[in-house]
Amino acid sequence: MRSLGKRRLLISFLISCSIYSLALQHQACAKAPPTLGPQGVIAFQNIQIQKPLDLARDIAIEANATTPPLVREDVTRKIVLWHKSALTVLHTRNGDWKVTLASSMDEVLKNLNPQESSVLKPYFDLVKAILASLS
Amino acid sequence: MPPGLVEIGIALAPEIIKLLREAFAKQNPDAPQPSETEIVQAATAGLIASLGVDDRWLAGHPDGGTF
Repeated sequence: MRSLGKRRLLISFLISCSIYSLALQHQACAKAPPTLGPQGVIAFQNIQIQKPLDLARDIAIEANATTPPLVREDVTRKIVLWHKSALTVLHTRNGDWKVTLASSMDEVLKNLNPQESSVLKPYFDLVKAILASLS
Repeated sequence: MPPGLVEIGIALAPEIIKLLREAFAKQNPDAPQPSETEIVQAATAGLIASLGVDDRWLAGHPDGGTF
């Protein structure tokens, strides 16, 4: 049972790395179409940022559903609640929303053990990279 | 194959297909670009759908703890 958990963790980690590499490569050249107005550009950026946010949430839920769970249920709950807040911050864009979003991810990471952090941190790093690329 | 891997694959399949389509579109500049309305609608629909996933998971995992 223990080796099965480790194997799943390894598989999850490899999938995470693959997705991270693919997404980062994709994001590096993801520019909003020049025909879009300001509202369209914001919507386009929101879609790009929401993707890794959703992936982090989805991976947490999936990892919590394994036997034994790779991510604890209370941690998964925190991540789901954080995800809801993060989407609200992203789509309302009040104040210094990018700093708020980055800080919230740092706060979530503090609650993770090393195993959970290795699974989820790549997605948070991706969000931060996209935020940093926005003018 | 671990059942978790299958579920992850199924869950990520739409995203992977979308990425491949976008990558293919970049190689075909004549491909039609989405309009502003379509982009805004996609962002709104994505937000609603994603929040729905959150709410469904929370409803299925009630808790007395705090964040």
